[in-house]
Amino acid sequence: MSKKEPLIRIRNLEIIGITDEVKVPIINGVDLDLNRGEVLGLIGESGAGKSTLGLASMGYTRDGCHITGGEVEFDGIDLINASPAVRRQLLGKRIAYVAQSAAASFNPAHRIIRQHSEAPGVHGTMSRGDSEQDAIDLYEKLRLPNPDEIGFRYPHQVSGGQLQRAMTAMAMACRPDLIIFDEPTTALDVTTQIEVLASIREIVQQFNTAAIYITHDLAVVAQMADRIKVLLRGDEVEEDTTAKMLKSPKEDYTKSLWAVRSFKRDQKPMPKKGDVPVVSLQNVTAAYGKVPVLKDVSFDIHRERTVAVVGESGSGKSTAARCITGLLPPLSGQILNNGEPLPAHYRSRNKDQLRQIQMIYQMADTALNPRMKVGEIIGRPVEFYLGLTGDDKKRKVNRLFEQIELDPAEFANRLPTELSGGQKQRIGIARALAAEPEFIICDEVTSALDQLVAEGILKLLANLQDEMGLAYMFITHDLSTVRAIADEVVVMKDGVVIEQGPKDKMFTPPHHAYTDLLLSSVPEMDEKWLDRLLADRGAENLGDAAVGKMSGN
Amino acid sequence: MFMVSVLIFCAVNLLPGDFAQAILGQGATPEAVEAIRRDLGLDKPFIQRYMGWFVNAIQGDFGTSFAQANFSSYGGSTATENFGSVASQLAPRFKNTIFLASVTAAVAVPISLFIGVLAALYRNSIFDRVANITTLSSISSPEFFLAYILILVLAVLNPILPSLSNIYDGMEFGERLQKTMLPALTLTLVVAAHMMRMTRAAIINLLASPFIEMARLKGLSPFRVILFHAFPNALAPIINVVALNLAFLITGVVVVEVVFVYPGIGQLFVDSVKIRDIPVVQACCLVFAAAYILLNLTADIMAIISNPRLRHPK
Amino acid sequence: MSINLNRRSVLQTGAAAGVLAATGMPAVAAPKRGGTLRLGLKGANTSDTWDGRTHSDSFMINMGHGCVFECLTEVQSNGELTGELAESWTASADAKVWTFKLRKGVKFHNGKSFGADDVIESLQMHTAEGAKSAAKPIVSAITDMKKVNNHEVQLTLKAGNADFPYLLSDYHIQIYPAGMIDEAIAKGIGTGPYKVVSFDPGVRCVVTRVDDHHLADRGGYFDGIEAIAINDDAARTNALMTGQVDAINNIDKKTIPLAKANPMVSIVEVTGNMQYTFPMLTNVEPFGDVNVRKALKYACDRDEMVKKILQGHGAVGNDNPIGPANQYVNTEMEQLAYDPDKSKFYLKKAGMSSLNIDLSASDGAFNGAVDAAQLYQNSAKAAGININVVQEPADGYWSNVWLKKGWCACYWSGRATEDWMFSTAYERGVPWNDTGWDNERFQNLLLEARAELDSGKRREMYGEMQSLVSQEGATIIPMFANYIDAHSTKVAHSGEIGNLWMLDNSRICKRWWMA
Repeated sequence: MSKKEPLIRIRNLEIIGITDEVKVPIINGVDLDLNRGEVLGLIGESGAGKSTLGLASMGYTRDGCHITGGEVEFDGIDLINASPAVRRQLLGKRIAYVAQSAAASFNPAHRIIRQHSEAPGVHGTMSRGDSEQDAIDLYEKLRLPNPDEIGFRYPHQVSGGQLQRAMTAMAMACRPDLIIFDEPTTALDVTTQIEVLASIREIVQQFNTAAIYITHDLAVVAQMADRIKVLLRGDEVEEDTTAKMLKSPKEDYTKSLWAVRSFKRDQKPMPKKGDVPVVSLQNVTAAYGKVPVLKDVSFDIHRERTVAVVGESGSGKSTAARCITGLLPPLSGQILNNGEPLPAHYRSRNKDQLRQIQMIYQMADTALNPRMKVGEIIGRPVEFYLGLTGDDKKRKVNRLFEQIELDPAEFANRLPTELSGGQKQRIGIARALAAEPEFIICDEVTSALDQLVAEGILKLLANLQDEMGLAYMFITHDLSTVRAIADEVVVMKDGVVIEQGPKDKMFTPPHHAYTDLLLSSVPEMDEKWLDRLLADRGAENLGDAAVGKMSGN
Repeated sequence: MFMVSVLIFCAVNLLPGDFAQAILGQGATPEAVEAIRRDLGLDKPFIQRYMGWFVNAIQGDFGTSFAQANFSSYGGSTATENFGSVASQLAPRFKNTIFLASVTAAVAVPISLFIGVLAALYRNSIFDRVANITTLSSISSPEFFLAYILILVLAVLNPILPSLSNIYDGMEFGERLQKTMLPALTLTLVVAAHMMRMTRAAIINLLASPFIEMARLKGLSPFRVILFHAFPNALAPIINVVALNLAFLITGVVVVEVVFVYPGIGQLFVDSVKIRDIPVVQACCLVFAAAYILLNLTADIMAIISNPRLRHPK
Repeated sequence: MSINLNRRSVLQTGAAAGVLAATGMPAVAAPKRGGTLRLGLKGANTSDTWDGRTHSDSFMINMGHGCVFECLTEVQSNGELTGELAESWTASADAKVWTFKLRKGVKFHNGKSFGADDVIESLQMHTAEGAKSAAKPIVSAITDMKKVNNHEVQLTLKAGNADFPYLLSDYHIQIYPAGMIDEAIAKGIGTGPYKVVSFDPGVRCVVTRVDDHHLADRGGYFDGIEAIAINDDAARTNALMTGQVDAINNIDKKTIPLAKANPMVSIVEVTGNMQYTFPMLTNVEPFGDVNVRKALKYACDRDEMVKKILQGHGAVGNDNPIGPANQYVNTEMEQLAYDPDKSKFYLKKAGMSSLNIDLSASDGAFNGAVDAAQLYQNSAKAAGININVVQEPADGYWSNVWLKKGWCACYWSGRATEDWMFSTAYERGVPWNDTGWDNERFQNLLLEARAELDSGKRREMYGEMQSLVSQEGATIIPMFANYIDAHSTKVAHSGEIGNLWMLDNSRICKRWWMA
């Protein structure tokens, strides 16, 4: 703080990745300065090199990555040329790391507190006993429930949000000068995310720790960072203070990132009374074995309408989809298709009933057979459902390629592995369309995609709906997606429909308390949003804690 | 175990030839064969023989060896009490095999785990490659070949260890250990490769896990990362492969026992198969099967114990 | 008239006993006492017991007679028959009644004195109800056993047999203490020069010398013996080469050059009566025709077989089952040689221009039997005989092929006397007559010679029988296999090695000593 010298000084850093002897540039000459006590937000889409840059500032590269040029200095120490021993002296002690998935980054074989006290023990900053006492203090500061006891659990016994905070505590164990947060809240539900964000921000401020906060979520970084640096494919796009960056981004790319959030489709009028819904769930109750997951769930989906089913993980939204497709026969209740009851099990459904209901998955990768050419993947349902062969089949496949805005000549002979994430998702859509269904279930179809790509997919789905009169059931936990595309919203929690109705109604108060919590937990593009929220609700009334209180009602 | 017993009984009885023919050899006149078959109950139907054997076996009575029963009948009705049951024939041999297995395990398990950890630590280094080539070549060479190489090196060229492992009851422990050393080393070479490679693979498999990266980013030494963070999580597959190899040490030692003249169960098994001494063969098979099942069961239990998820449910 | 057959200096000329092919033989020195002999023996089984009736494999043959137990008589290394527990014996003129004088002052290992009752009871073991002794034919020929006094027994035979004392040297006929035979079998209580310390069947046997043994001047030189069962050929050779045992039986032929190169190891090789044969069933055509048989005899290249199947470790056979270990072996017969022309001649005489026949073989018959059959096939081609070699499974070979198929491979370990050999496999109607050969003259000579005590006449008669078998018999006996043993130079022997069984008539324990 008194020193003028920055804590981290990166100059012209170049990193390449080598996979199968093919060199891929990852970072192409990026500069970075970070002062003591300052938080820098690194933002960009996947493949921008944010994580690599973050790790490089610790002097660390993952297997297959190589630093080919530039300088990395931490507090005057050259990290690139330092011996492993010197680097190890810094890691954990003066530079700490918080990973994206705490569940995966805690060693499952050891108790949490044992892992917490490991670095202080190894680096000799604290005895194990002292460190464990310190851990309990930190847990308390981070508002973990049962701070005295939670550390003595194994990682699998603790929820994701709590683990993420425990990991932040672990990063703090040696009171480092710098912490790298690598997408620490990406894997969390919104209500949990906000809690973790608040905790991280508080503790970083309290110990005046410098931090690099890596994320793809602008709204999140807006809350956390003093400055923001935008990366695109290994190059710096621009850097500025958070406030300036949000209000007046200079570069087109940055502007386009900002604009994603503006895509919004007008809500269609509510269906008339007496219209027969394409799909209707009536008092559906279902269970996995003896564990009940759906309780008396009812909602309708009409032609040319999009119903968004929202809720946090475990709320039962995917289970509802499984019931509709017949993968999980409900215990009671029924599912109507155009007013006709569908057999509970997909094996008892006829081809036409199967054709009517199609599904698009979150992980386009795993849903496509990696050994089949894309043209064949789309051709199969064409042949199976429509009975087309030969030239008819080819024409239909080409038509489908046009519908998903890909050139059949270019793509039909490729393998799924040769496609980008967005292209794969488009193939998934084409495959669903091939059956000429009237109803498509979209299960988190944009969650794994970058925002620009996701927006493209959403637009495509919207166009297809208008063109073909499709009904969508849109499963998502992302409320901005809901805002963009939904006509109606169904909010679920613990297998129960908490609230449902038209979108405009749902996004205007008064809400059900849970819907309110859900909505208010979505970070907004305003650097003061978190402050305001904390002021409104109080630090004790966020996330899991708030949800817990609600369940107690 | 019941299924195993049925399988064993069928398989053993499907062996071509029978005890009478085998033991009489050239002297197998039809009358003599008939006489022996009658004496041993071989003329009874298959199912009846099985039931008789099974009912006795579950009571721990494996019957009397054909050879002994037959020889006792040489003397007419006399002298039967002088001949032990299969169990009494099996017990000392089993003890010897267990001793050999224990010695081998005591040598092989720590060594292979240690080399496995080191190979994982210094993977793709010279050490790793040498360890890999050595263990791979030892695993792919037939046991008797390894045995002869060891005999050549350790008994013929440098007479350090005896090539004959004729241990017997009442032998001093030290001498017994010395005599057991060569077969134990041979078996070590055979099983160590498997265990070492599994240890290495299981650990390397984990090295890409986020928690290992986390451990590295805590500034821990590579050795500590592997020993404290990777190894405990690799335990389940390692325990499994160790158990599998221990089972092999009991059931698969036939060749080594023959080469080193080690009076274990494997040699008894071979001798008995040679003369179609079915009760002994069956008992050996049952012991093999039991050892196999028991060790795998133990492995499963150990794997559960080693896994905190299963030990400490939510 | 009674003839004392105790000294058979004349009779042993025919027996090529002690034919040695030993290398590195030390100069014959006087035996001395001391040391422990460690034997590595093939032929051990988990079912081994001290019951001589069950002995059939070399471990027990070595450790039974001549070690822990004794017989009435003993064949010396030079082929001479001497008394072991018998001091001397006499026969009636028709060789029917035999009187044995027993040694005095002999004690069993448990202290019991040896006497006539022990002999009688031990002999009766073999004819007991249900007993399956291999020596049953010998003992059942005795119609009466009489105890003359405590040290003399009189045995009366069904028919005269001049070889009778010889037969009593058989390793099955060991002498047990009367009244406690079961215990003696369980513990191994005999009168031999060594008593049992421990015995683990199929694994190991340790014995220690008996003090003041009655034949101490003639053997039992070691302080103790440890016999280790090593059935694996390579392991046995290894044990000898690395000095863990002092002597082994049956060294693998392939390792002989290696063993010879080791200065610490000597090879002992003798040709005995072990013979490999190809018997034809004369009641199966075309083998009933003596000309066909002769054609086959001349179509066999015996020299090649010895060279290739036995790698030279053996002797050429003359289709004569009487071998060098027998007393009256006829060595003056013309040697059957490979002669395709002669073969063709006999074939023509049989009215054939060519012959197609099956020869069944399996390595279960003898080691290399299939190869031998193929050599035969090859050599017979020149004579216009097409032999089709049928490979049979080793399992059940003796039950399903031997005595069943017209022509097959077989082996005989031979018998100590001519009469025994002939009456086992060549006499009319006996179960193991594996050719079904029936020759009137041969049959008459067999019965006549059996009761003849005059050795000159016996030699003549047995000589004629051998040439009958050789010329007209239905067995091809192309080769005699050597007994090849090996020992370290730490042990010594007299230089004369018995050729009845491996390891000096399996009496190494008694006869050899530490150098």
